Amino acid sequence: MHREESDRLTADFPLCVACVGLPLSGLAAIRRPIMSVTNEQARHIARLARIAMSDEELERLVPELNNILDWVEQLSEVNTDGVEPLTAVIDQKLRLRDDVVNDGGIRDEVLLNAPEAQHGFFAVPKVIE
Amino acid sequence: MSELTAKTIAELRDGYRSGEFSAREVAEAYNGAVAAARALNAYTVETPEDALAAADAADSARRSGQPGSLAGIPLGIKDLFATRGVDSTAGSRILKGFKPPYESTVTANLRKAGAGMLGKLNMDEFAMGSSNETSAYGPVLSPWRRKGSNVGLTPGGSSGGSSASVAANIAAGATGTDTGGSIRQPAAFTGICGIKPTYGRCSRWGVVAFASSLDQAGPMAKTVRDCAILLEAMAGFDPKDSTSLDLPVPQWEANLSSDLRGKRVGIPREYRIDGVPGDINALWDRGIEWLKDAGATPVEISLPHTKYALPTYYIIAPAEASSNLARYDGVRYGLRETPDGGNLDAMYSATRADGFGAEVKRRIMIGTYVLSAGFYDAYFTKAQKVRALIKDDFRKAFEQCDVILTPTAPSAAFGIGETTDPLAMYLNDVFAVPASLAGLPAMSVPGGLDQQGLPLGLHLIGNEFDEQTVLNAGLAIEERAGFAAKPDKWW
Repeated sequence: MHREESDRLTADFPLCVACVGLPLSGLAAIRRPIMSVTNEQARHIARLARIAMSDEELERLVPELNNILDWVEQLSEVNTDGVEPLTAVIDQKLRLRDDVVNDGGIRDEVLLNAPEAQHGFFAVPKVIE
Repeated sequence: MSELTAKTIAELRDGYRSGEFSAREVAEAYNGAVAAARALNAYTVETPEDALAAADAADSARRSGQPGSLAGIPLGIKDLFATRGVDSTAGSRILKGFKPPYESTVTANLRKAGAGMLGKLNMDEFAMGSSNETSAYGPVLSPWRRKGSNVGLTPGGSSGGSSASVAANIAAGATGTDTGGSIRQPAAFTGICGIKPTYGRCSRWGVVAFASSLDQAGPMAKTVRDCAILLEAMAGFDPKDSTSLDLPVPQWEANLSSDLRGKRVGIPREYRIDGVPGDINALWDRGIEWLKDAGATPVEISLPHTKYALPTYYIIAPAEASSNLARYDGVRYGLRETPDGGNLDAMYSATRADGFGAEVKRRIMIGTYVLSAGFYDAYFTKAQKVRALIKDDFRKAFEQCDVILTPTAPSAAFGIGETTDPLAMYLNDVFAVPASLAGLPAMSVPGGLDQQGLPLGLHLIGNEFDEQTVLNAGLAIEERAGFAAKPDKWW
């Protein structure tokens, strides 16, 4: 455990509230200060993700999310000082293509699967009051 | 005609070319077998007419002397692949009724090679699962059962329809996709072969996206040779996929050789973990002996960050998924739910609440959280850094060895409903995920049966672009394991 790093990481989390051990066979149990998601935060995340959730659903989900977050928290013990985040798993350059129109003129195909299409457009509930 | 469905793809190809049987006879035998196996719930859509049309085209191509490499071969296609005019729903209610007006590059390549489509194969919703239980169509049942038991077992996941259909002889081969083990674990659970190639070998264009930096298509089939044949047809550069590898497709089948003299096989000490059944470790030891017998030299290697692979994966994959799945909004395709008098925002939220299943919602929530303001660096950037260390572990290991041997999964197939804790389910991919994070080719080959009579797989990981050594080591194991067990037909 890289103490300094772990402290810094947890210091970043004002919500750090509990110590949880994870009873998983096959992986070492993890015991360290962890952060935890509150019902209120979970409601906010659900809102960001645009998924309607009842209070009962959120209550069920919060301990599951916290279990998973406690478990991934073990990454804080890895020293990653000076490590570049991996963004391309196989080293290659992104290709550029010629800036030309190479597709289009298929409006009807594009609208084929629309739950509601009107006058050649996707139709949605009224946006402007 | 049942003997036709027992044949390998190589045998079907040779028999059709020599005129021993016609492609139409093969397609009819498979169509009949598919219709008789609905108890497995492996197919979400059956397309017998597609298989017959491809077969008739193959039969006339044979008469004119220009049959493609897969002419006369009927395949099952995982529901994650877009197939023109045929429901493509990723096992999700939110894509109910979606019929793409286009064809994925991989399936277009297979069709160009002459293959026919038997239907779309069931899968975990958006490929998120290890047991096929998250599918909106209900779980696939494995054709395998424990000795003296009627308990329904999982065929693994997420490519569970693919694995079950190949094991039950209701597809000659199948497409799968692998984000963190979704080809290899189901292949191991059902006693078949499956290979995930190097990231970028198979185009992702037209494959419903889960975690784009990890998603990779690959074949599932009865034998190593069949996997080589299918992969050659599926792979290839595609300008429509920005991460497609601009490399020629090797002749993997022609270069198959089980002579491993001069090859070093890495045995990673970190993969010896507690709680893995003795049968699996014993098979691993037998695998080392088989590769030695084929001429290879075992060397102990270290992959020090192995234990961090799963938690890294469960940050990166949900983060990418939460972004990719933002497109399911009820506007352009699939399900739409609008509450009475609801505005656009209410429609988004109701559609997604109704359309996504519990595991998908869980992962979108995790992904949204780890990408949200204030947590991005602590979770997502941290995971990307650990991913770099995992990739570097493999880079160093391949200075000492040519291929790595491990078990594929930490258990044999388990019963439907037996694993309810999400984290316990995630552990199924403990051996498969590191190679996914590193973008490396990896394969599962059946090695034997455990004491319950269930198949176990051996897992080979190769260096990037080196599918050939993975396939060759797989062939060496296949020849020595002599795995010929088939499930007793109960369906």
